[in-house]
Amino acid sequence: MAGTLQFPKASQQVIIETAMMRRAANRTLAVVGGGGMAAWFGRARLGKSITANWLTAEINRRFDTTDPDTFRAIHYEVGGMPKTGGTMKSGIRSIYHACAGRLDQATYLQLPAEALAGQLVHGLRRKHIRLIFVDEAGCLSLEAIRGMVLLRDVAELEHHPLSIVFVGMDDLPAKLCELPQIELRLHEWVYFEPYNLDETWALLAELHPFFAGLDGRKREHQEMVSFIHETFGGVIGEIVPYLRKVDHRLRELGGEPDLTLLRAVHLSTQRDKTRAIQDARLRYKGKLPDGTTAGSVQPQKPAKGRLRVQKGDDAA
Amino acid sequence: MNASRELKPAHAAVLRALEVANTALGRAATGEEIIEAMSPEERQLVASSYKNSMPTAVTHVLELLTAPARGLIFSPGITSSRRRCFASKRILRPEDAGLPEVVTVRERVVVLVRHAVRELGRAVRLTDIVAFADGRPEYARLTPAMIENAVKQAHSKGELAVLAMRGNLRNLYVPAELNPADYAPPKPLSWLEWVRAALDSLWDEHVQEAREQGRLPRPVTTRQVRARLLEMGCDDPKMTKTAGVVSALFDLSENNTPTIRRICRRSRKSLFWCPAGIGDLELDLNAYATDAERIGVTVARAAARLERPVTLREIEAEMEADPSLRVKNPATFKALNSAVEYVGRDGRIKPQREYAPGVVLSVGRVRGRALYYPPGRGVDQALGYVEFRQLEQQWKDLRADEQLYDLQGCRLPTVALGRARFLAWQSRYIVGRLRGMIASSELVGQWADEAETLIDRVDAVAEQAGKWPTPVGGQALPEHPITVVPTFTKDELRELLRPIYPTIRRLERAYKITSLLITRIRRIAPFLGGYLQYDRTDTLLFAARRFGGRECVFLAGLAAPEIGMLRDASFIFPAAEAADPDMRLVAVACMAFVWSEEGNKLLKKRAMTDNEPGIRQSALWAASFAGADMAHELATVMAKHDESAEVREFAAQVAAAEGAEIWLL
Repeated sequence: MAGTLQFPKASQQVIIETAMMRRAANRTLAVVGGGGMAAWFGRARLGKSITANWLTAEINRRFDTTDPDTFRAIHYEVGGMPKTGGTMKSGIRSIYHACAGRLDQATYLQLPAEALAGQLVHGLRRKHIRLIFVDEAGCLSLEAIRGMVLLRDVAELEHHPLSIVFVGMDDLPAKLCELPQIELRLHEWVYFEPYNLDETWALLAELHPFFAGLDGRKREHQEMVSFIHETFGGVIGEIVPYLRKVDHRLRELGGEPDLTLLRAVHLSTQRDKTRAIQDARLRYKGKLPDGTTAGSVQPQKPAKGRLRVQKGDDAA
Repeated sequence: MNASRELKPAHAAVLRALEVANTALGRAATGEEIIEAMSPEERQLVASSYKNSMPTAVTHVLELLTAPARGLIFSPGITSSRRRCFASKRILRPEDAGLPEVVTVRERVVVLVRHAVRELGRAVRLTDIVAFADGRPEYARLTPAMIENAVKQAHSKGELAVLAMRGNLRNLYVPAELNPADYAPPKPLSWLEWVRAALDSLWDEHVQEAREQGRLPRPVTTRQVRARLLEMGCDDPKMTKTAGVVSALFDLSENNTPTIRRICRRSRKSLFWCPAGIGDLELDLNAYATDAERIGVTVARAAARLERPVTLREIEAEMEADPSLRVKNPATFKALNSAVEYVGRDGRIKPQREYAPGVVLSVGRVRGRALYYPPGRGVDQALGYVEFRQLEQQWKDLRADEQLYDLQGCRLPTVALGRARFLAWQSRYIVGRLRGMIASSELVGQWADEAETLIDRVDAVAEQAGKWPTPVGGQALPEHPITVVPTFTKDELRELLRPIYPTIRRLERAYKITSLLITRIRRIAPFLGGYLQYDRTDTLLFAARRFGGRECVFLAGLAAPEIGMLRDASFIFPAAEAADPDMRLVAVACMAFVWSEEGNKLLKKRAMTDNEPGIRQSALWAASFAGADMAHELATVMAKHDESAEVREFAAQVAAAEGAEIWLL
């Protein structure tokens, strides 16, 4: 097993347009015209960011300077902002960095929030940007979100309709609904759900040639797909790396995937993860989770006595 | 596989889990590992089939499956912790089925001690062993308590040998096969031992010095102990604590058996220390006659000790260390000022005070701090040292690493190339000057070694910057960017900023601008000498961001991080024709603030022909701002004939702007 190193094959990212992506895109584009805002919510690794990225690329590809109905979009990820205690200006600065480059510290300190928003709208107008995807918006403070809403309002006043789409997880929906100033400006909500078994099967078929050749009537094949679906709960962001691991293992072992291999690949990761967590808990300041020290715990002895068979045995 | 089909469901589940575990681990698996590999359904199946606990049931099933009649699985053996391992014949061959490697905690700790002794090159304490194990995954499961117990056990079984107790140290361990005496630590292991060793060394020196000069020895100061610890290469983490040394000295003087004595004088800030048992009458605390003499001796002594010119703070430190050198006048700098002479740029000494000649020389400034040196031998080296530090400061100010990192974020590849080439040129200049100083013996000894180290670093950056890849369209660009920086004089600056900068409007004289803008705009020494002048691009960017209108602030915001210190506009021109509209916009912004004839032509071309209305507007403003010929006429034409209504409206505003009003758009 521990033979020579197996380097992974270089693979290009392939975006598979799913029904969920098209649904999210169309419903969002419906509110862009009037400068409405939207929120995309869902668990991690369900493809929200990929969808936002794909939609941004599509919008920018179709942009035409002579067509007033087209526009540009920006997709960026928020990071390193305080979840609480941020200011309105910090929200505007976040978008400024993504759309118009680095913001000079003196300008940031000198200008009030509304002037900063006006300055940014000027830059957005120069670049024809009318849609902004703010990814990981759950990391934003309420004040920062208010700053972004202020930006949208300033843009509307200056006749440059701007739509902001908050993409995220955490407590994003609760936060957005906390203030009516924000909630009432959100004209569309998109909820990303995990894939069901059929969707997972279809996705696996798109992602991996082996799964493309599976027969839905065969029990072994059903078991394999069910195992993947149940193990990862239909979360696409976990299935894709898992398939890469299976591929990697297959290059080592040869042959085709079967349920044993699928389970073994998952077990390798899961077992080490469990052991790592247990070990960290044991070693962290020498305390176990229940507060006792490592030396004070006696290992549980295995049960002794004769073997009792409930439903008969074939020992004889 | 046929045989497994005849198995009971519970047996088949255990067999399948065994196969999963064998595949995952690549070896035979223990009962625990097989249970871990079972899915919840399989566990439920086995649990419902047997009343026993899961491990007992699984072990029983495995024993059944091992039976020759079945022959589905086999056991390659038991581990050292007496656990039997199993493997499926379908997955592993008997010769490949290894066992899990399990050794006792004691054996692992002995290996750990062996590693630690080999790594550290000396006998180790328990704390050393625990620290050594920390962060190494192979010892991750060993807790400090386990290590302590195992060390004691190994010692009692003769697997570890002990070095005899040494002062305050705890036991030191080595593996039994090594001779403990060969592994005695070469330096102190505890903080108190370090401090005591430093004080003893200083006291021996003071006694020796006093004997040679025929006087009583002087006590040791805390500062001297700290300096000595640094010289001794003390690596104890308490060295970094502000009060670490003084606390240790207090500890040594106040415990049950004090080994040193504290001497506290009400009139002095410093504490003095000497070995316990030395009385006041056995110590010398005398001084000199005049302040000039004291300062002269202090500077000479500090310069001799540090082998370089010294700062005022170091002179004060030297005075603190020796009470006899303290000046009567409490303002040390004033006293020093009366004693100092200056060395001019031509290298000649310029006496400042006739009545105190030849006591101390002021040999230059580094980071605003004056450096002093005694006259006589070594002044050339002192001047060399000052220049070396100035070059080093110049290098630090360049923030080369940061610049190289920033270059990766540049949106215009040709501008990044220009900045890299400019950085390479500056680096090569510093390297050349340093090599010249070493060759002419202006830098000797440890400073020459330091300069060599700096040369290596600067050279590495110069090489890295010099190898910056040439982007498409960059082949025709000059190998050496223009290094002459266009500047404004004070008067020009005042005229430029007067309409938009209210404070400058109130200034009566131009020279007052310097104090107002000294920290805001970069100043450059003119090539032919004279007063420092203001970098033109830096001035424009500062004023644009501070007082400009939206377009002005927007373009300044795009240009400032892009161009950095590059002032050669030829590196911007290729980006003006780029296919990416973002790049063209940034190029327009850069040309607005790095003025050139060619740039102005390109700006007008962009304003007329670019297919992006936003870029046409920005280019029109930039051309007007940079003072391009016919820019006003162009704005008038565009206000009437541009295809975009938005552009026509903006062009009308540009056409109507007079004088400084262009800043406010």
